[in-house]
Amino acid sequence: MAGIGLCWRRMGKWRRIGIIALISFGLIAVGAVFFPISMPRFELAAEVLWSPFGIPITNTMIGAWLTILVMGGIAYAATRKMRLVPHGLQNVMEAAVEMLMNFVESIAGKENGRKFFPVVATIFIFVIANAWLALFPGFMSIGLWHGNGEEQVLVPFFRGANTDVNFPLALALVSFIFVEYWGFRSHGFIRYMSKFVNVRQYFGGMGQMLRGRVRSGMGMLFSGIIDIFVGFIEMVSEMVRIMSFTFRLFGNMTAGEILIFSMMFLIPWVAAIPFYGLELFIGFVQALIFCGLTLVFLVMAVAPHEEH
Amino acid sequence: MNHWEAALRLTGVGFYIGGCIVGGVYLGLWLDGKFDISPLFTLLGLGLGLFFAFYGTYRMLLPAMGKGKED
Repeated sequence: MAGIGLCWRRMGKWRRIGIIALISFGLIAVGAVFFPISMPRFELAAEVLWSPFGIPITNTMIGAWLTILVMGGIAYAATRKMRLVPHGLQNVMEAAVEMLMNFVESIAGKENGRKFFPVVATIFIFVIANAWLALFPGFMSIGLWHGNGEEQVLVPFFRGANTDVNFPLALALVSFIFVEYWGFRSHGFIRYMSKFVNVRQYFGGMGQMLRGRVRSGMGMLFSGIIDIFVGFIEMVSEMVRIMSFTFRLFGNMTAGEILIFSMMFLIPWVAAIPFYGLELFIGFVQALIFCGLTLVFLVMAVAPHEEH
Repeated sequence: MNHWEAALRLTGVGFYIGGCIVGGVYLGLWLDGKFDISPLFTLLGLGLGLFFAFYGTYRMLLPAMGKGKED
């Protein structure tokens, strides 16, 4: 035994790493042969855990509530002993909020930026917290076994809320409602609606025709029909936004979850680590895109009509 | 319009094109099922969807292209 220890100490660094890797892969191979486990099944829809009073409680809902609790806890801890010269957690949170504020103001300008900041920052923080919290141990791994015999599946207690299509849809609707609300508020009902239903030229052309000015009337009628088409396109693109918001976030997050899940079962411990890093980055990017797009649409909605 | 805004606006273009074409075709299929004159409305829906997709994309790209010319 002492001989082995001496031999080990004399070995070079790379040789040691090689031996450890060889032993690990050997153990994995032996484990795979003698203790085979079936590949896990990933349920696309969120699993219902309980249904008290007929209201289904899914594991993604619990994930979202946990995010709210954690974010609330961090906010409480950061603002508990506020100081003029911040340090510790307060410093970190202030830096994060300031960075977000600069981002919002760089797109929307100073005045509008202050107005839009609460909505945009809430979306960013909630999406990124959901994405990053889902990478913690315990998510997707602690749960109850359902079914019997060979067909047993693990229903986890916690699952990232971004991987449930209802959650991105709810956020997309919130974003949509805020965009339309600010659009109506800054332009007034009729002026903002004229972006979608623009019949002024068309009726003007009709009036011209009735007055006997056929030539100019025809021209106005033609451009009126184009205006109506353009309005319809605006309406379609507004509706497609909800869809694109929803499926962009849901698709990216679910794909990431499945990727980590399958890597974990292909080569345990080792292969999943780089993908965790990738998921950290993707969570940030998706949160940035979601809040950035909401911001851009808000800016477009309050901008004067001539601009676009 | 700064670079952030231009880039973010263009992230929705792909979804817009897909949404318009799929929406047009589905509307056409539904109308064909209703009136039983396949494939007239499906083709019309596809054509209309393509038109909306490309004209809408052109309008979305205009501000970004205008900015490109200034620089």
